[in-house]
Amino acid sequence: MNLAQLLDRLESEPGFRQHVTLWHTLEAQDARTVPVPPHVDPRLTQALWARGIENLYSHQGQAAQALADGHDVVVVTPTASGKTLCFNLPVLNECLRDPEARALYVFPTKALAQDQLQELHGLVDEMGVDIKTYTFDGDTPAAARRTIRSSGHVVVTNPDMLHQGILPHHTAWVKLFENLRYVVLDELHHYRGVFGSHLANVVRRLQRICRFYGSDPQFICCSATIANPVEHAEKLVGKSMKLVDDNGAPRGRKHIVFYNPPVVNAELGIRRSVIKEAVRLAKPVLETGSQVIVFGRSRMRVELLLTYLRYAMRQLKKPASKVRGYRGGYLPNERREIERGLRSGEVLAVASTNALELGIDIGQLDVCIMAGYAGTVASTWQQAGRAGRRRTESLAILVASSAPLDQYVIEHPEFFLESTPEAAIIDPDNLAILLSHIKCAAFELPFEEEERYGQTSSREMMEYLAEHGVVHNSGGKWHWVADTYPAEDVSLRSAVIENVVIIDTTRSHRVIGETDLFSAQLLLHDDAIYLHEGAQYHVDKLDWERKEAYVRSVSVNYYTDAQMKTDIHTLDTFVEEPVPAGRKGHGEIGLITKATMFKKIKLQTHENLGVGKIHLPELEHHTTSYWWMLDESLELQLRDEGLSLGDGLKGLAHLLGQVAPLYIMSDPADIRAIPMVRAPLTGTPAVFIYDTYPGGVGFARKLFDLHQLLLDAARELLRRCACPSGCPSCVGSALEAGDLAKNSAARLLRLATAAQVAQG
Amino acid sequence: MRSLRDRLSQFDPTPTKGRKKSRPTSKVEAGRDVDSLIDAGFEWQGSPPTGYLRSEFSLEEKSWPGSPHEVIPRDAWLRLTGETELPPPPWGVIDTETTGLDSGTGTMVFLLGVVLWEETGAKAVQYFLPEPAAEARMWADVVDEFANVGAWISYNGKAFDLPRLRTRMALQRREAEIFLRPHLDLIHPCRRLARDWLVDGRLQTMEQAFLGHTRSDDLPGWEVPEVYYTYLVDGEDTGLDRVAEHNRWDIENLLRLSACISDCFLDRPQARPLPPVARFQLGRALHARGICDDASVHLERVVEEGDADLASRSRLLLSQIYRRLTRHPEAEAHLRAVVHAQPEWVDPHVELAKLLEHRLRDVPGATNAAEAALNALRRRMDLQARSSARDEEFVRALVHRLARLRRKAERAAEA
Repeated sequence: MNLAQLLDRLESEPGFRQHVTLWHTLEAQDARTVPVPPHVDPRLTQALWARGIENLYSHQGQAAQALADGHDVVVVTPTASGKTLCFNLPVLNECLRDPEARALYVFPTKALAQDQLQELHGLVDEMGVDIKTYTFDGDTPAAARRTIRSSGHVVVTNPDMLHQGILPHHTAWVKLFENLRYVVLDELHHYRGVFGSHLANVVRRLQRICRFYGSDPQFICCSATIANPVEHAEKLVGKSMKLVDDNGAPRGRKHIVFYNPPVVNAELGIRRSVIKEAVRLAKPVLETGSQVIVFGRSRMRVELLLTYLRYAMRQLKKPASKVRGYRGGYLPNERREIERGLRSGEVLAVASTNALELGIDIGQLDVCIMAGYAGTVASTWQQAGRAGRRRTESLAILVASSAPLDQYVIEHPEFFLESTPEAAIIDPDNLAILLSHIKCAAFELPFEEEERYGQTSSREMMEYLAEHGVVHNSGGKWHWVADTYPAEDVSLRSAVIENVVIIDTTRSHRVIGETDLFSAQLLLHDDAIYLHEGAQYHVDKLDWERKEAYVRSVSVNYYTDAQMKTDIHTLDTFVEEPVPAGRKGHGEIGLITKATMFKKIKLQTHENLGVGKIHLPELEHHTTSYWWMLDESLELQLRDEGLSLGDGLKGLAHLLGQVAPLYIMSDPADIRAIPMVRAPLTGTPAVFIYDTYPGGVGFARKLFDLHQLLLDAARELLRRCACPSGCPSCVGSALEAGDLAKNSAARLLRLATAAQVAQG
Repeated sequence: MRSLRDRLSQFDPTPTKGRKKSRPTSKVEAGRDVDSLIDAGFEWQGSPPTGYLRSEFSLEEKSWPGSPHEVIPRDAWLRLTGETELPPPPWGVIDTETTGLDSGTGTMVFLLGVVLWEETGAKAVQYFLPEPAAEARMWADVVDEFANVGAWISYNGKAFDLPRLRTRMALQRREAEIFLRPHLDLIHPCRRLARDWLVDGRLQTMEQAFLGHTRSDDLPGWEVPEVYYTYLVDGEDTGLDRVAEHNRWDIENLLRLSACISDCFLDRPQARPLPPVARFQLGRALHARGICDDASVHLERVVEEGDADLASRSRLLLSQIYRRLTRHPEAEAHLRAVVHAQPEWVDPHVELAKLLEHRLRDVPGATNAAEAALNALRRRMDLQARSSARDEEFVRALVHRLARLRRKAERAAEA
């Protein structure tokens, strides 16, 4: 049986078709090409010819033209569309024109940087010219660094290295900064939330240093498909961008299939295991000898997938060694070997985390199976893009898990196929982040008195820093005057400012993880039962001063559930508008949380075995929030209908928190939703959704804009959910949200819409 | 919207490391009170905010060790730096005080001290930066004043002071060529001599050992940045004179130390007598530079003066030197002495076997030595819980050598 026959079989198999919510076929597309522009150096044109590239795809041509016209560009095209030539072509061409010219490539991970370099080396070798390309990261040997700094034409690095290793030492990179023509930012959609807000500031510092050395590089950004590529790139780079998105690359016929495993427990909203279903679907593919990649969402899932896939191979009497695993934690050599094996066909199947989602070259495979929704549409398309040969047919299957987001997406395929609604959100002006980087910037170069930094004048910040003895005004400039290196204190990727470290004392002292303070007060208070990778631990002591929790492995028949008192006060309302059934708002809030007590609850029966007090200080932080204040009258109205406002709000908060990532590309830890029966000041019922990062990085603002869309999505999710009275896939389990949560939340959402209709 | 000021107040911007003290806003006009430096002989060059302070003292005759080329002639320069070309005088003995130890651009050099070592005398020149705005003018004048310096002498300047000076030049968009001139960094020869002899390789430790000089009331280096920040931010000049004094001690002592080290490396009569452990390292250093004659003189002395272990280590080096000089009998004598004194050491047996086989054509002697090596190696391996791959390889090589020696012996017998 070959792939085409397998497709026929699947299409006609009722047991399979019954659970398919989408079978979409993208027809084959021919290449649309343009000639290599005349301004390209003949040596480069010839090197391209030698590699079989006689013409450019339309988007490559557009990018080349836009850059030649002096624009900064953002290229948005799918995986395997020849995106890298969009930047390699202008960069190499410029290096040929002027041997002094320099370019800086920034990739989000080290592995990706290595891979991109190989492609660049290939073209340079083909031309036989002296263009030096190097990676500069934490692994670069000290001896090589000097050469790279002075003579590298193209320096490939990552944001962290740029932030800590290059910018604070810019005087060692004079050649690079004096002659910097292009900065390439690849995988732009990864730079979102806190990480993206940090990166935008790293870019500001980079541009500041370039100005000092008299250069003004053009930016070439590349992104997967998101709702706001231009806006996002402009926020990151602070310049206006030209969009290049007319993908001219050819592709073969491609099938996209959404598969929702059958329900096994309606009450709990549990479906058949996503892992087992993915393996079951992979098995006939392995039989055809087609190459397949199976994506799992965590390392643990990937290991499970690997075990099952190998078992399947043995059943098929094929060598299990042709199935490989791929994830962070594997050694670089091993990874290279697997990548080569995939390209050569030696490896038949690979189970991988999103490590292979990024542009690492493994060639194109026949089939991609995604065991669970990747979290964003952009990532899903990138994963699906792993299957797709230019000439033959390919297949990508998304297998949904029971998680609400998975269920929403699988039930709303149009969401996936039509133009994507999800936006990358950053706020480069988050005060905590801004302040961190303005310190780094002051260390790098003194600030002029009236110098602008990003959107704001630096003056007030400098005065504040001067009061704390961090900078000092001399001769009209602010100079760094502390004996430390500020970049060392700033991590670009950490979404939380302070963590509690979890130490397992069962045998010796071993750190098993860490968690943010907010979660720590709920999960790691004294006598809590903490769950870690399926094992139970008793918390012997939470040392709040030192931010350490000492835990010990135990086996008990109960879990603990902590109660939290949350107090929200509005510090500043930026904007508030009437909406159906209430008002929506956006502003700054003060949030005080305090864990008060916990219950011990017996497993299975959920009996209450006892309670304990939690003695921890209050946590207070300031951040930005979106809120929906509901009309007070709703409380009575719901009560009259035998429903509960409290349960409804809890369910609503859960729902809104679940659907928000559909629009704002947030990770679960980025935002939190809180229901309040009586909001402060107004006393009205409300739901707050706030940025967990102090000060916020823009999620709340965007949610405010999306208010109606969010409610619509929440209502849809609720309507489609098969559970009788609430489950984790919609309003949360009845245990958490209350028995009336589902019906009450549905009623609230209907009222919001009815009012809208009435108003309209 | 709340004011930026109000929102900022929730953050403590002081770095997590380093200074903990938070400072009240200073009411004094900061950065102008430099009386303690004026009293110490500094003079304003220009006026604030772009002017800076400079001091200049001719060194007394007794502090001048002689002309640079007499004190550190070509031979000494080669022995100390490995470079054959002797730079022309004057030389600059250099040391800086900085606002921190980090190498980034935010670390300022606020005090530069140079002893200008000329053919007829020496003078100590110090530049003090009263505030950052004075950098442009000060560094321009520094570059002018030291334009004809032929070489720098420092203590750890290659890794620390000079790179920071080049950073300051780059920030002024200035050519840094003068800070790329030939450089004798005394930390390397000093650390070598200090290795098994002194507690550490710090400059103060070397001063004690070579100049017999202990600094009293010297400002500890780690306090230096704090003194400068206190001055800069609060306008409080307490301690600045001590920083300047500390810096001057550094450069003047460094000048004398360079003469002492040169004496040692040239084995001049006035050189400080070295204990055997230091003399052994000196011999090693000279041997590493290929200066075999003098290396052997020192090592022969260590054989006489040192303990058994040190004597054996010296003999091993000597055997290498003599072998290279084709003085094979002497090489053999030293090796035989080592294998006699240290029968457990494997390498000397092997070296002896090689020497006897290839140079002295003594096959039976070489066989004995190789057998002794194998025995010593096996004894060593018996003592270890697990044999290392390297030792296994070593055994194989020795067995191979023995087999070859036996074949040679058989061929000799046949002949």
